[in-house]
Amino acid sequence: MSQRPLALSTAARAAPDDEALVARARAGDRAAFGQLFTRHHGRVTAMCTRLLADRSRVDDAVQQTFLEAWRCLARFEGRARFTTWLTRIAIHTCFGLRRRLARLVFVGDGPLEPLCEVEEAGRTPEQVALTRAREHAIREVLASLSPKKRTVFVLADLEGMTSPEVAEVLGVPDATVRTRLFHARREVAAAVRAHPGLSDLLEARGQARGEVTA
Amino acid sequence: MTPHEPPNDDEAVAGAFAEAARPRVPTRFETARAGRDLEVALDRLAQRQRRTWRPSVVAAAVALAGGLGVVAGVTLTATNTGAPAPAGDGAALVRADAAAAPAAMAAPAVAPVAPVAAQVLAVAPELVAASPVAPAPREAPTPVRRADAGWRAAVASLEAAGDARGAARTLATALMTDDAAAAPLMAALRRAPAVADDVERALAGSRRAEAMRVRCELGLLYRRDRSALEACRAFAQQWPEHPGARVLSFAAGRVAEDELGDLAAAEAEYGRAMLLAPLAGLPSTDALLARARVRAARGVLDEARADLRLYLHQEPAAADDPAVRALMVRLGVERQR
Repeated sequence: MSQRPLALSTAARAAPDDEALVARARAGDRAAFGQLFTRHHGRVTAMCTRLLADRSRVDDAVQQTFLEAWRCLARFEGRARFTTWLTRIAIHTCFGLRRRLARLVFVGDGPLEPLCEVEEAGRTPEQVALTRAREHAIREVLASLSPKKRTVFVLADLEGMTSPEVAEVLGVPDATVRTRLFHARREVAAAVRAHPGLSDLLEARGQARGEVTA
Repeated sequence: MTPHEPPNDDEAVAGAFAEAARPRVPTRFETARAGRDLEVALDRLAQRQRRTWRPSVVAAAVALAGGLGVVAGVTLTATNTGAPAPAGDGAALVRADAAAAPAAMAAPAVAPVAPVAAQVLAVAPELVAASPVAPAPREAPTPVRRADAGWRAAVASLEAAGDARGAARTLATALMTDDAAAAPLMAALRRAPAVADDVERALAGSRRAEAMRVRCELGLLYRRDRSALEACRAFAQQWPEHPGARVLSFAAGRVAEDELGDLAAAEAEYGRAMLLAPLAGLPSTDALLARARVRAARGVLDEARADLRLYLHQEPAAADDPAVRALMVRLGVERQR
């Protein structure tokens, strides 16, 4: 075990900005890198969850993302924000792992793995089944998108990034991002309407607008 | 319609979908656990970087040694003296691994009844076959030898006198400092298997790659017990990038599955073999199938199906194999189109 722990427990106490932590991490301070990890782990995990299939592979991808970030910190010049740089690494990791190892399965390409949540206490079998069906449906819809559109949709609509931010991450023009996002949303909407497992989304939206549903 | 029109119905539906699709944020505990895993991975990364072969340093050392006329009893190896020898058994293991894969794939869906030794051989015939010297299959440090440590002459005289046990013991001692002793040691043990326990004990304290590999192989060949699994696990953890780590993990899985009946250990070993496969530049399909079989036997059916489907995705032609077909029927997995 390391003699220089990531010091995760101290992450909540100190709140320096990313740039300061990056500077310390570049000097070899693993505690600072640990704070960066704590700060960004959730976001990277959420993004990889929607780009990859099952949970264990998401963990692999997330860990590899941070390992790659640690390895390449010396080359990080600070021209982009650390968040942008990390997101770019995460996307390349998710796509690159699949290409190189053929081990990672993209959303919808492989079987549906059991969800962690199904073992939570206090949930009825019906609730568990509904959760799994919903998750399956979401994956099928996302899988219907091309990788480029899926990436833009995940970054913009699930992660809440602006189109210029997505453009910076992907290294493409802003207009390209907006075009891809437009088509991605249209395809998502069509897929949602066609998917019987997501009809409740349409019903909820109709009720919110005062429509009468059958 | 252009991309710049105001929000329309499609965007509203997509927005509702995005809201539903937003994944759960990891809990504090999950982040902490991932942090611990990352910590271990960073340690391993640092360990690998320390092991990195530095050709310039070695070239300078060779030049210096040559210039000074230092020839006797000097063996220059990698900057880390325990670096794996690339041109010995490891190379043979890697080459044989590809050939061993079909044998593993053809294994029956239920626990086979063949003798364990035969099963090990089916997985890794190189474990008992002579280990020819071959070029390194992947970039790896190449020891530069200026002279023997003297053990070759001693072994030759012992073998000439018919003392196979003495030769094996001498080779085991030599292996503690010279990786080149690994192949002759394995050959000597085939002539004097009774000394295997002594050799294994002698190697127990060494963290050198070849010593740990030989200890793992000896355990799988002659002991086939939990200590053998431990030795192989320690080797794979210490030297994950060694060319032999992957095939030995797979063989350990077979021993755990067939000899010990420890399906959980077998699952772990097959999983380790899958993780090590990319490091060895090898496919992991045989381990994937084996893990599916073990998981099915354990009753972890969802995971078994997932493994089998992924296996069939990577090896669609294997669906015609009777053993694979039997597993498909048992798990209710359809042939992929």
